[in-house]
Amino acid sequence: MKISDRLTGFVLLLFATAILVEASRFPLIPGLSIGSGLLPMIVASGLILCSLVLIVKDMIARPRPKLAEPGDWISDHRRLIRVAIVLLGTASFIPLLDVIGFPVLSIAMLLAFLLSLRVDVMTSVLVSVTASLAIHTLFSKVFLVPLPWGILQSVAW
Amino acid sequence: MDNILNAFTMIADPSVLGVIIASSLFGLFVGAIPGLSATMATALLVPLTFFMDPLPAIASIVSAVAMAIFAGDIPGAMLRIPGTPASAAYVDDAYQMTLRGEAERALGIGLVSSVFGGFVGAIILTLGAPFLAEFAFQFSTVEYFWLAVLGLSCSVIISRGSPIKGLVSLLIGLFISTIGIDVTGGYPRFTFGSVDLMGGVSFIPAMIGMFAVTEILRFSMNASHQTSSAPKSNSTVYGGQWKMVRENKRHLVSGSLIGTVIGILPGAGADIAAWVAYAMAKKISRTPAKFGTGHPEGLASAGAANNAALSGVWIPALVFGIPGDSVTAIAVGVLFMKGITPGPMVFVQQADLTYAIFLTFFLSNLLLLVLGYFAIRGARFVVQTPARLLMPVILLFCIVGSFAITNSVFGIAVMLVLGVLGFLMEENGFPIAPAILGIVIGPMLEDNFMATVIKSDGGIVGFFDRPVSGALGAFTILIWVIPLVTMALRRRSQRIEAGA
Repeated sequence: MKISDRLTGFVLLLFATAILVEASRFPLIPGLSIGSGLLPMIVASGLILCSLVLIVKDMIARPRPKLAEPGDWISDHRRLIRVAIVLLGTASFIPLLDVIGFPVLSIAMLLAFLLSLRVDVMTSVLVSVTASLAIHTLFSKVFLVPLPWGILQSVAW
Repeated sequence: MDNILNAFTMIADPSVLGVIIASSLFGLFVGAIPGLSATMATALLVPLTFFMDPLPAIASIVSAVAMAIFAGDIPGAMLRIPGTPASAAYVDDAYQMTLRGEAERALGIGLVSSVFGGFVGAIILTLGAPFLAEFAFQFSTVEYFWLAVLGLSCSVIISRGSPIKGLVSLLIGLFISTIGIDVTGGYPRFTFGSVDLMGGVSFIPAMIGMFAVTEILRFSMNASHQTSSAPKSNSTVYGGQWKMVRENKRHLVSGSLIGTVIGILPGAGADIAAWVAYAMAKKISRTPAKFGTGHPEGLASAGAANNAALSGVWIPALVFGIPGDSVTAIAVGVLFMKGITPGPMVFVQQADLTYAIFLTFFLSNLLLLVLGYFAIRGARFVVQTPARLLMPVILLFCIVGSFAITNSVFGIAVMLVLGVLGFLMEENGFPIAPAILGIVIGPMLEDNFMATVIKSDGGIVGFFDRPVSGALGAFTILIWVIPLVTMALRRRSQRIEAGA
C-alpha cells in the first residue's frame, strides 16, 4: 500500500501538532522551566519539521506521485480475505479471549488462515488443532500463563 | 580468574546447554526459511526468554542469531533467495557455484567463514569490552545522554533510504517511549485514563508487532507462495575448506575485522558489514572481475564479516547500554526486564554473567560447525518447508507471546497496532529499526537528559563542560551537520552547472 509522502506528511503534521498541544499542558518540575512535556515537545517539533520537508519534497517532485495506491492485492479477493483474517482474527482475541477462550478462538483463527492459503481441509484441521493445543499446553503448563479456557472451562485440564 | 571459572560453571549447566542447543536449531530453521530474518527469530524467542534466567535468556538470543545469520546463506545458495538480509551481498556468488554443482562447497565456505568471523568477533568482544568498561566508569549522565543521541543518530543516518524517513521512524519510537507515567515528574503522559497505558508500551509486543506481524501481513498480500527446488550438488561441505582458508586468509581476517568494527558502530550491523566486506574484498582482490560469478573470495570475506558483526554489536550494548542494532535492542530490553542494567557496572556486579555471555559466543560458533554441517545436508528439505503452514502458526505464537507479557489482551492490542504501523512504514520506505531503537533507548535518553538539565540548573553548558561529553557532543553535532552541508554544497554546484 503506497501512500504519497505529502499525505503521510500531512497526517504526521496533524499528529505532531496534537502531541505538541497535549504536551504543552504537562506540569513543570518545581523550580525549573522544564517538565514532563519537554521530550514529547522536542519529538513533536522534529516531526513537524520532517513532515513539512516530506510535503514540500513531494509537492515539487515531477511527475508528482499519486496520493495513494492501494496495491494489486486489494482487487484480489483471496488476498483481501487473507489480510482480513490476519487483522480481524488477531483483533478478535481482544474482546473474545475471556468469553470464548483460547483453544476455540485459536483453532478458528488458524483454520480460517490456513484455508485462505489453500491448504487442504484435512491438513488445515490437523495443523490448527495440534498447533493450538501444543502452544496452549506450552504456555499454560510450562510457563504458567493463564490462557483462558472460556466455553471449554468444564473440560480444562 | 574466579569470574571466568564461575562463567564456565554457569554455562556448563545442562539446562543452559539445552537452551543453547534448542535455540541454535530454532535459529538454523528460521534463518533457512526465506522471508524469516534473524530479528524475527529473536522476536519469536523473546516471549520464551521472559520465563528464563538471565543467562539462558541471553544465550538463547546469541546462539539463535549466530545460527540464523549463517542459515540465511542456505536459501541464498539453493534458490538465490537470501534467507536473511545479511546474506544478500554474496548471493550471486553462492548461487553461481550451486549452478556449477558446488552448492555444498559454497555453503561450506559460508560456514567456515562464519565460524572464523564469529571467533574473531568473540575474541575482540571478550578482550575489548572489559577494557572499554574501565573507561566508561568515568562517564556521568551527560556522557550517556550523548552516547544515546549518537547511537540514535547513527541508526538514522545509516538506515537504508531517505534520512528524513529514518528520522521520522526514530521520532515515532521516541514518542512511543514517552507514553506512560513520566519517571522524573511522576505525571501520566498520553494515557487517556487507561490503566494499561500508565505502565507504558511494553517493548516486547511492540517489537513482535513491528517485525513479525509486518512480515505476516506482507506474506498475506503476496500472490504466490510456491516453493522451488535447487539444482543437484556434486561437492562436499568440508572438502577443500582448509585450502580455502589458506588461500583466503587475508579476506577472512579483513572481513572479520571489518565486521567487528562495523558491528561496534551504533546503527550498523551484520547486513551492512557483509556489503562493506564484500566491496573491500573486491577492491583488494587480484581477480575482481570474478566477483559475482561464483568466486569464493567475496563469500569468505562477507561470510566472516556478518558473523563477526554479531559480536561487535554487543560491545556498545553491554558497555554503555546502547544497542547497535535491532537484535541487541531486543537483548538490552530483555536484560532490563531481568533487572540487569547494561553498563560498566555489569562488569563488576555481574562479572560472572558477563563472561558467561562472552563464552556463549564461542560455544555458539563451535556448535555452528557441527549443526551447520547437518543443516547444509538437510538444506533441501528446510528451504522447501511450506511457509503457508508456518505463517499461521507464527501468528498464533505472536499473539500468545504478546499476551504472556502482562497476562492481558493489552499486549495483543499493542502488537496489532504497531504491526500495522510497521507494515505501513516499511511499505512506504520508513525503516523500522530506528523506531525500535527509539522505544528501547528513549527512557534512558530522557532520564540522562533530565538529570543533566537539573544538575546544570536548566542551562546548556552542562552538556559540554566535561572533556568527554564535549567531544561526544561535538562529534554528534558534526554527524548531523556534515551531511547537511555536503547536500547544500552539492545542490549549489548543480545549480551553478545548470546556470552555465
